[in-house]
Amino acid sequence: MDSDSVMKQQTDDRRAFLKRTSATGLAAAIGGAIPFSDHLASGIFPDAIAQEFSGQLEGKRGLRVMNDRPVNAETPVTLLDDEITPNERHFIRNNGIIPERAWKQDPAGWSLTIDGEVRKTLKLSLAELKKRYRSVTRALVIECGGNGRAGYNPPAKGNQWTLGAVACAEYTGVRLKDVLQDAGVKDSAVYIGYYGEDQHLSRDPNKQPISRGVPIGKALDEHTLLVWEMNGEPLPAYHGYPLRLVCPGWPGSTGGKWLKRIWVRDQVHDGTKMTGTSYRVPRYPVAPGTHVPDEDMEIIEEMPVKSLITRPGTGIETSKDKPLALRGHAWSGYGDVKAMHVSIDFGATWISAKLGMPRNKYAWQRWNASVKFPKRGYYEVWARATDTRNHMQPMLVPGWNPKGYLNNAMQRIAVKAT
Amino acid sequence: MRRFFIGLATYALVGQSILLYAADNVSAIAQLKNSPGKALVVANCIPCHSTAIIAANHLSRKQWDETITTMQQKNDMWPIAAPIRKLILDYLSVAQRPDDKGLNQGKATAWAAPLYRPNPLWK
Repeated sequence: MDSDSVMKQQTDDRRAFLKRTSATGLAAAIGGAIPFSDHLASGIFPDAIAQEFSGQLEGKRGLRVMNDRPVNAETPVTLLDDEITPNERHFIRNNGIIPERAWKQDPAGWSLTIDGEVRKTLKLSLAELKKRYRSVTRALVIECGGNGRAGYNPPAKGNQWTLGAVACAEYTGVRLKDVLQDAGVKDSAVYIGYYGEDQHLSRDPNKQPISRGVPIGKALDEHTLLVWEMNGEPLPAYHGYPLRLVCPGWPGSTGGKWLKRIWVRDQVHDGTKMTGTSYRVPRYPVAPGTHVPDEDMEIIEEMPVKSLITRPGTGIETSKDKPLALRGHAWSGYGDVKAMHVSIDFGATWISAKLGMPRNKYAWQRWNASVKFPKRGYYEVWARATDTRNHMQPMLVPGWNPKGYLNNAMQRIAVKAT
Repeated sequence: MRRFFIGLATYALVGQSILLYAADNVSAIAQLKNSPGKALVVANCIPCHSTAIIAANHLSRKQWDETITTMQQKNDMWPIAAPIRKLILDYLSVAQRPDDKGLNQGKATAWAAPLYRPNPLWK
């Protein structure tokens, strides 16, 4: 079977499974009748019995699945060792129901609309988009704003991401700037808001699962792209087929997937997950657990400097007589990382690591170091990146915020030297 | 399903090496605790989303109450009669409380364990 047939088979299996699930079966499984069972959307996944989740995700291997509806899965850190993250290792963060078009990889009838504060409204097919503007290919880090949420105390609401809601894949598309300039951005433009073809979990057609965006300045940045290809393949269903936005250096959620419309606004976009505590942090530092009023919250823009140790994994044993090779990646929402350090003595002294150049701005940078342990015993390797603005990763989880965003604490691994 | 259990068994046997060689994805989805009120929680929440996100969150009674209100105001959750709402909150505020030891399960991943020490400033 070729990969298309395998994928179709998996999709068919999933559908057949969903079809078998009735409200009665569900009631039996949870030991009670379900009120309003007639409201249940047909084909609902029986999450009451989440052990039914098979661990299978189309096109994904080795991920740690945190939620099956909507699907959210992170990548164990040792599987992020590649310089360019393969599609099968890229984390998944979804808010709604993935459109059928994406599963079928069917572009028929699809178009992208650019409207609002522009001189002419554009409606473009995928073919037109590819033909009318210059294509660019860039390696870009996408990191979920909530990566590291599991570190906050009191616990912050949402998927409890640890380290793996980040990846650096290679994308092909066009600059959003070229498309916006073609439409003619008016002076009144302040912000863009995206709309996707994904459905709200309630299946209410009047609701969007997510509709975020960026200020017009970021939208017109030459690194902000509309992409149709990920690592040389059409965007996989989980990653926004046929088109997604990537606003590198900013929370992954600013890059809408399954894109169908970009609305150029004359005010800060107020779509789903732009307001309240979503992707927003307090304007001033707060004590852990503080209730922060909405008006004191501000939208997250740049993501902080961060790094990973991708080799070795934590908990290894090594000989004290041999050097241990360490490596990983470093990146910053601000742009380039200028230095990478490791410590094997709990931060008392720091060793400068070899740091590579990024493939292009907003790609992550490979770092390498070699350490030798002076005597037998338990060690921790700590890793710390510093960006060109001299911001560095904190040793501990940074300032608490209601939804647990922006945790860029240093990663540590445990090593036993024998 | 069978592949998943084989995956789990492999994980138990070889520990972290599966992080390097895992073929399948590993489920980190926790089950809701079996205590009175669970069926009501399940019945009222799963029309839209999985129980996974409930089991992954540990909040105070007040925060759970606010969560239900948000779901009703923003996400089309249906009205719930006051006595039912109370039973749901009775369940969530105990089974999914902030100091629940189940909270640490998600953090007990091989790669993340050294990162998450208790915050001494919070009790």
